[in-house]
Amino acid sequence: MAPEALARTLRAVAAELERDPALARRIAEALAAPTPDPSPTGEAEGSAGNLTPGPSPARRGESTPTVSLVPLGRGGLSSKRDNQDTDASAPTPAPAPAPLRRARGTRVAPRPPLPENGSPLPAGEGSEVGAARVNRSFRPRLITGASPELGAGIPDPFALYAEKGEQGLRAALAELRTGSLRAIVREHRLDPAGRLAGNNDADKLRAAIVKAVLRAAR
Amino acid sequence: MTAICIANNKGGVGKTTTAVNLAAGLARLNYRVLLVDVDGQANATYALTGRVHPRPSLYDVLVGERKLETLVSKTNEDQVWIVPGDERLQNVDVELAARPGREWRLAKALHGQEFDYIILDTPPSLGLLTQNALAASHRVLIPISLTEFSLIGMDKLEATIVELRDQLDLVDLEVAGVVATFYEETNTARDTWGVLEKKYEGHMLETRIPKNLDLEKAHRENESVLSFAPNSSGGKAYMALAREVKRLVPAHPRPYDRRRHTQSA
Repeated sequence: MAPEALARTLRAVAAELERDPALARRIAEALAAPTPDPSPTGEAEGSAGNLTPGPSPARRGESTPTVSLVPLGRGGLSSKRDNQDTDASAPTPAPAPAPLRRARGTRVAPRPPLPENGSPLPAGEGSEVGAARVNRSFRPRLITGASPELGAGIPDPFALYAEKGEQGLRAALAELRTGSLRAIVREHRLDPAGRLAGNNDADKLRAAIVKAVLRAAR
Repeated sequence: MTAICIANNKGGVGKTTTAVNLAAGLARLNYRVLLVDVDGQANATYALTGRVHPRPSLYDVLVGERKLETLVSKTNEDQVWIVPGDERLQNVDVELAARPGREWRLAKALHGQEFDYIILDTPPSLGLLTQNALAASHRVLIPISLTEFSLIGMDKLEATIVELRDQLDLVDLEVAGVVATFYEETNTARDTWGVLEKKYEGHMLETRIPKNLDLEKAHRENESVLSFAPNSSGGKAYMALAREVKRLVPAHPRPYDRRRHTQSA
């Protein structure tokens, strides 16, 4: 990987850790914990403190450069301090959650494959943290587009309700993203007060649409 | 009615992002905008409607006999309408090859439309679809990412515009401007900007579109960045671009008539 690309990736990882102190804390604790069976290089492969930014090179059978994440403000970024932090056999006190940065001259271990639920965090301990992350982050999926029965233009939730009932309406809305939901609200004047105009929460928009349609149906 | 073609034969320079967000920006300036998805990838269609390769589409107008006005539909953006594209557009080059007046089919189909602006999103090629879009346009807006590779294709696009202008007698087809996309304050970007500024003196737009994640997120949510994150750097830049385009290429008061506009120029 080119140095610029690597730097960009690591900045993104650091930003993610800054955004999620709980994750940072867990990684810091994992870094500090002694590893029972260190690899020949003296590093704990696959430990929570090691992150691979891209697809796992190990799966392609390549040798894997590894990087450790070292808390700032705890000895700086000097190579001496870095070496201490990457030495899994030397336990260190658990560092406070802080912005993390790459240590030079170290290597990244492959990230284990995601579990079936797609969560980047393991189940069990800290699973509530994982749930919070899943809620916030985008999970890519194959895009097949809105259902053809919606027709062209902005979907009509009243027609959908009349045709498919409440469950059908909810199912159709679940397939739509924020832009389409906002357009439905605007087009059918479901939010006269304009409270939802700048709302990027798709669930709230869906709830408002269903509420307005049910109210009109009564 | 003024038609603006967003063109660059290089892919990944931000044509669709520019088309979608420029359309939304002009709509926010109280213009009625028609976005025509001339690209077989139909990404502009998805970006503003959530539909993937809907049918019927522009293909049925260009290759079949369908009237374009039957396809005009509302998008998720207020005051922006769309003529959707679909994957069959990729076959248009072959299917129209032997037809007379093949470069004019889109211009003829748009005849009489009463929008203030038509924005045409084109594929990353200089084939018949792009030629149709250019023939139907009064101005060309060229998005360009500031990399060495982007400089390579520019001569070809320029030559095609000149060639088409001569062949089809498009006396008023001009480059409205070159807009830098994915802009970052790097030496490479600055150097490339310098080269372009020398080559296209007076045509480089003041607005530069920064690299901004919200632009991508807005596509994901099927709306423009001006709806999704109006205060983001991308949102502000596209609003500024809309104002600049409005100033450089005012909306023509008459309904669309490519030939009449050409002759009156």
